[in-house]
Amino acid sequence: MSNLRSFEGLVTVREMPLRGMITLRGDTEVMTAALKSVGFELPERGMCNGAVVWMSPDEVLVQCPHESVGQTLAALQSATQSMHALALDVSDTRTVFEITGAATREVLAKLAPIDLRSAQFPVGKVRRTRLAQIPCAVWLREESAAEAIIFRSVAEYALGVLQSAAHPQAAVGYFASNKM
Amino acid sequence: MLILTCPNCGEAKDETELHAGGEAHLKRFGPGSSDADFEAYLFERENPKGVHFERWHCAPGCGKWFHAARCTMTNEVFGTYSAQTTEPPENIKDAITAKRPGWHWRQFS
Ligand SMILES: [Zn+2]
Repeated sequence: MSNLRSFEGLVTVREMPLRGMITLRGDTEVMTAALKSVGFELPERGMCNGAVVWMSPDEVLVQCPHESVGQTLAALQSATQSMHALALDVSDTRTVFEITGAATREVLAKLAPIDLRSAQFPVGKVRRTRLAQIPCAVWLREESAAEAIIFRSVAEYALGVLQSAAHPQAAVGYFASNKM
Repeated sequence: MLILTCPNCGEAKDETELHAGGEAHLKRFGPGSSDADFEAYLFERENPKGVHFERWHCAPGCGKWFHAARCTMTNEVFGTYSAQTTEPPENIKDAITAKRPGWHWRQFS
């Protein structure tokens, strides 16, 4: 996709290229088996293991290259055939913004009502919350890199609030990683 | 600020991350019930100053419902528990008793 949006401030905000995303729903047993069939593992509650994002006790978001989403979806669907489960391609529903830089925790903490101190929010954790007024899943990929998964229809809003939170003159310096 | 921990996703959420779902443990009276029962189901609600039981929705979050027991006067939270129950579990009732001896709410105490 061309025209990926980005912004440079306290952090770098970058819209990620189109990514394959599949919603998989079922109980733990069903999801574990289905994920195994495509070479993935069910993450711990509230965590993301890179490919798979924990969404709720009966839902995960499977991420894969956009080119192979059809193939992965077909594999998940055949693995869950005749089971009480759902696998659905939602790639076009969502947009991902990558947030990188020492102020990553700080910028997110300005927008989401969540405790982003490292003891409460370790690397690898994912939290469904709100970013200002829109639903969002925040994944802390590394100590100073996060991904915000939001609905595509409100991507412009997300970029706007991220821009004001990451305004170069809006530093707070609350977190140890970003002490001034 | 009211902070409730969703028992489904385990996250501590402030009330702006939750949706209030009204009184907990209502028994539905539908077709075939008496007018009095139906009216009570629709309209009669507790409005206590003190211990109260409520339904909350974890939205934007894991999308599940859960129950919470709190004090409407102090906002003290006694605990949260599964929505898959028709009455407060023992550990929640014990937690309330420890803080508010002699409490009662509808048929529970
Ligand atoms: Zn939840």
